[in-house]
Amino acid sequence: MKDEKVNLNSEQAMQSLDLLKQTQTKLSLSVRPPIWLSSSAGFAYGLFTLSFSFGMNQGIWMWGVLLSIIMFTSLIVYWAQTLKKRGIKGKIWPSNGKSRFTWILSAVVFAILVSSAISTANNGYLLMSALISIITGVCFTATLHYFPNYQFVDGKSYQGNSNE
Amino acid sequence: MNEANFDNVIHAPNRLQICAVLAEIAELDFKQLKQQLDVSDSVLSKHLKSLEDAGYVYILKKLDNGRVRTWVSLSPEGMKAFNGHVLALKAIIG
Repeated sequence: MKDEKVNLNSEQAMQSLDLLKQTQTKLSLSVRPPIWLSSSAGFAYGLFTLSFSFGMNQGIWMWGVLLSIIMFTSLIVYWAQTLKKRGIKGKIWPSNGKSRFTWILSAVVFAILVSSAISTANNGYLLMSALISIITGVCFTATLHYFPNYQFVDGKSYQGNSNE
Repeated sequence: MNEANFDNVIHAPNRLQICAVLAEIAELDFKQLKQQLDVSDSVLSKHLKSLEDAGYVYILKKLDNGRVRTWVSLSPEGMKAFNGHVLALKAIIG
């Protein structure tokens, strides 16, 4: 059935692509974690950055690192299990170019943020390091909320679909 | 790199939606897929059968807590055909 000649005008092609986008947006909204979970994961990530920057070998900060890792891992495992129960198994490595770009870009941005927090703390700028840690947490929350499936989704873009 | 390749199996709206959803996810439960597409069991089964016959999807029944769940995923051929079809649609628009 492949490569058959099909008479399709640009308007019909556009409609098909719109339908495709609507469908993928609906899916992204289904896999988006609730805001409490995104915020908690962002908080755990921020706490990890702060504790790790301020010195992992120093009493309370070591506990901070440990607590944040346990909290972060528990939240991710909880959400993956919730999705599985609902019948959705996500991909760790996305399949299309745009999503892969988002995945790599976010990994690079978070690596830069964490290493900036560490280096500023090592140079004695503790307040700056704390500020970067907060920014890291907020950015992580925003990434989970707006890029749940490695593609931008704001909820308003989905207007429902009617087919067949 | 994918080539633009219009595919009549995928072009039907429901089948295009099935591929669009499965391209973004590792596996999807039949019920969840039905919910995503907002179609009946029979309509979804019919379209899945067409895609399975073309070798574009895998349909696996797995036991989960004592009940059978049907999981659907896109095959590598299905992914290639879907990406090629999307490129063909974009080429038509220009």
